Amino acid sequence: MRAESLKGHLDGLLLACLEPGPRHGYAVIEALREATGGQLDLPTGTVYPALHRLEAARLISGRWSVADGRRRRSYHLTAKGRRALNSERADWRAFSAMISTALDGRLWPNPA
Amino acid sequence: MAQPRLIADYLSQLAARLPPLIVEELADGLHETYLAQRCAGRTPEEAAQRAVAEFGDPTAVVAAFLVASPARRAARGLLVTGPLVGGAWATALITLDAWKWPVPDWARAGFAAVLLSGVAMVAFASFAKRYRGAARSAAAASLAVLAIDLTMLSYVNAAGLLTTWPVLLAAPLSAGRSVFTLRGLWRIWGRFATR
Repeated sequence: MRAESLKGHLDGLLLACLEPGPRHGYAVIEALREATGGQLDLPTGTVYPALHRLEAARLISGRWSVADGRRRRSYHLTAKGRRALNSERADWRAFSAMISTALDGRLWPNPA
Repeated sequence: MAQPRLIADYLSQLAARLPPLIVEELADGLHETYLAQRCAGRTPEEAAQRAVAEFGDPTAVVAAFLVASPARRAARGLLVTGPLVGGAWATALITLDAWKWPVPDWARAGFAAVLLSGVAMVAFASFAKRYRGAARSAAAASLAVLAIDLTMLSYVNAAGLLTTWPVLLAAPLSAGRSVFTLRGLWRIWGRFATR
């Protein structure tokens, strides 16, 4: 899958990768690959700026630690990030259901 | 484990353009990527080539960090708030006949110079293509804007004009922008702090 297809959804995917617990950048990328069965092929170097953007928005929080003699930055989901992830999930489910209905040639159920 | 030359060169390119803390984080990720490739049975050279290829073009990586940088956010914030705060002060100065105030010409000229430099640096930082250049310009622009806001607030306070209606609008806007500017400066500095 190409990176352009992800526009607008990368933030939600990264937040979902951090939902189980704190992860460092490379672990987030690995989790993203595993979760999508290797279908997502993002340049690794561009995932880090996205993590920094999410941190600036206070959706995730970073912390330095030392692993194998190297300093490592790990991220965890904040309460605001958890709310944003839930909202992203709800929006995506509604959006994908609507598009699936339209692509299948069915009519969207009228709430009235 | 020794670091292959290809990875060291790649990190050198990033180190020349990005703050040390960001490079340190990327170095850890790149090393992990390299180790994963080695575990998959590749030779050190192949593993290094694949790790670097996975990370992508250094220019694209730097550009992505620049877009997400505190310098760019601070500059864009100043670009948006500038006309609002500037308009409020212009209204106040015109309404209060500021040209009749007992301010020496050198002070007026200095204020105008700082104002114009600030505007130029905000514009540069908003559209700069280099991370360090954007950070330096945004920091300088923030200091200029802080100086302008604090000068205006100090003057109207000393002249007893704080409670006149146009200043009642402009002063809180300037005070609010000062807080926003200080926070932006702190974040820009934080990116370049070594620990």
